[in-house]
Amino acid sequence: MTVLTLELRTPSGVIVDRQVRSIRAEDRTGWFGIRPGRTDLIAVLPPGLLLWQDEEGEGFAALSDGLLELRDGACRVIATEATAARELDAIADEVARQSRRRARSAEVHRGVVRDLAREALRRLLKEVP
Amino acid sequence: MTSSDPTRRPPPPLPEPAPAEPAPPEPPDPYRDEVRRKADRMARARREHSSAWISLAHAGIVGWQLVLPLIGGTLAGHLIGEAIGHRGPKLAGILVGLAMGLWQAGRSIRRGLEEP
Repeated sequence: MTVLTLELRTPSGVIVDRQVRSIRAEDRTGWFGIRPGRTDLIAVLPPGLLLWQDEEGEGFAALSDGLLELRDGACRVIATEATAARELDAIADEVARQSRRRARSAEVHRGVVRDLAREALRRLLKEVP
Repeated sequence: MTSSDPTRRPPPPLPEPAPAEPAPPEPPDPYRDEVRRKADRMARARREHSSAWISLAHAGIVGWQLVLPLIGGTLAGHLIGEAIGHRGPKLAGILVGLAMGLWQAGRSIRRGLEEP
C-alpha cells in the first residue's frame, strides 16, 4: 500500500511530521490535492493554508511563502513561518498572536539600536573639542 | 441600628472603572492578513456547503410531499371510479390529490422559509 507522509519545516524547526491520508494545498493557480500514489510534483505556495487528513481527523497549517515537494510519497513543505492546529478557527488567531509577538520583539530591537546609536553619538560629541 | 438612622451617611460611591485603553494598532503583516482572509473564507464556505446539502434534502422532501398525495388521490379516484363505473371520481381523485399535495408542499416550503 502506498504511503503518504507530510513534513512541514521552518527555519525554527519541524512543525508537522506524520503519515497522512491526503493533503490539500493552494498554489497561485488554486487548490490541489495529494493522495498516496500521486506523481511527484513541486509547487510554490503563497501565504495561506495547508490541510491534511490523518487517522486523527483533519489538520490545518498556516504558512508564509513556502515550497512543496512531493517525491516518492514523501511530501516536504518548507516555509519561512508556519503554524499547525486541529481547528480552522484556531489557526488565524495563532498567526495573529505570533505576529504581535514578532512586532513586539521588533520594537524592542529597534529600541536597543536607538539606545546604542544615542550612546555612540553622546560619546562622539564628548570627544569633540 | 436601622437603615433610617439620620446620622448614618450613605456609603461613598464606588470609583468609576478606568476606561479600557484602546488596543494599539497592529502593524501590517501580509502573512497574518492573508491567513485570516483565507481561514475566514474557508470557514464560511464550509458553513454554506453544509447548509446547501440540507437545502437539497429539504427540496427532495418537498417533492415527495407533492407527488405522494397526487398518486394516492389518483389511485383512490381510479379505484372508486372503477367500483361505481363512473369517470367522475377519477378526475376528482386527481384534483383532490393535487390539492392536498400542493397544500402539504406549500406548508413545508413556508416553514422552510421561516427558518433562519
